[in-house]
Amino acid sequence: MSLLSSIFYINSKPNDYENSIGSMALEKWLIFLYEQKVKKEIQKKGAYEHHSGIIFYQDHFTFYHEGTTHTVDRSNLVDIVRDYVTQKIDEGEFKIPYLSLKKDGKLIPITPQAAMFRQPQFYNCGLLRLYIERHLM
Amino acid sequence: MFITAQETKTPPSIVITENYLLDSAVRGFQSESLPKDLVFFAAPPSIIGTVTNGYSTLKQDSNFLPKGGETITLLLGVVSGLIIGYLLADFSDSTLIGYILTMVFFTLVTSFIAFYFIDKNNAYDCVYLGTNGIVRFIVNGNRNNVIQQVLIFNEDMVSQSSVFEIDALPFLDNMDCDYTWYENKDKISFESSIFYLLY
Repeated sequence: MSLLSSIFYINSKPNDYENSIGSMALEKWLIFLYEQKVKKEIQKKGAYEHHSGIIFYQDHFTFYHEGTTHTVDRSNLVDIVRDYVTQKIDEGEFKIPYLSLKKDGKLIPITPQAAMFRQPQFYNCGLLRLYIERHLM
Repeated sequence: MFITAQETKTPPSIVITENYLLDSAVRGFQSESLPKDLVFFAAPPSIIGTVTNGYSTLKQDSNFLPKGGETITLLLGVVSGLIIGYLLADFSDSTLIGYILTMVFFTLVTSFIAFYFIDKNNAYDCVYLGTNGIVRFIVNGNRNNVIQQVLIFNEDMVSQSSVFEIDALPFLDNMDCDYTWYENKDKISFESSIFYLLY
């Protein structure tokens, strides 16, 4: 971790206020990213490749898990649930909130709702939720 | 510090204000109504777009330390630490090493308290979030000493956010959130969390 890191640290407020600033800024940036990049690419090319095999289309998205490509659209959107996946890293064992597809009684993980610092491939993961809101709901 | 797309590297100029008047639609960062006693001591730069959220830790009844206050406070911190350390070592009939260690320890403690006091009473933040970016102003010592940090959103930024529920680390909180943006090897974060110390 670089010592040159710049930190927005807000004094004199309850501890969670810094998180609120981060959360709201993240939300705002995701909207910016969606409007400026994702939406335009879907309109222009018909699809936007998100990460880890997740591809956004105009009215559905697909993801890849264990050799199978799954499709999520309005018909099975209701089957997307929040789940927790336990992961072990050096510092300990973590329960990470995941979006999963409930299929045939099983939960198929789509993507974590938050990225971990050891998994840069999950950057920008909040885009999935935003995409679902704008295209499938 | 100014983080943005490659083509715009000139930071916006700082416009110091008595108390910048925000649109009534602007809310706090928890969507709360803004308290009336907040003082927005600098104007948001237009480059961040329409301001939707803001907050300031400077209030109408906030004060700065008087001139030389920082030095005096630090001096008081150091001297009181030395005295407390000396008296405690003397009370416990310490050896010379005991005197030195006790005095150093208490000097560090009281200096830390002094730094904390200065930080709480001499520096304040003002943050604006707009549709295109976020800016943080810091005023230190007096109303004319303002610096700014600006983050302008762009398509090539990547963010890393994390939310953990921690089972196996009893010395940490159960939930920890941080939000980090990367661009051009620069990094900006919205929280310094204990994970950073571990990493």
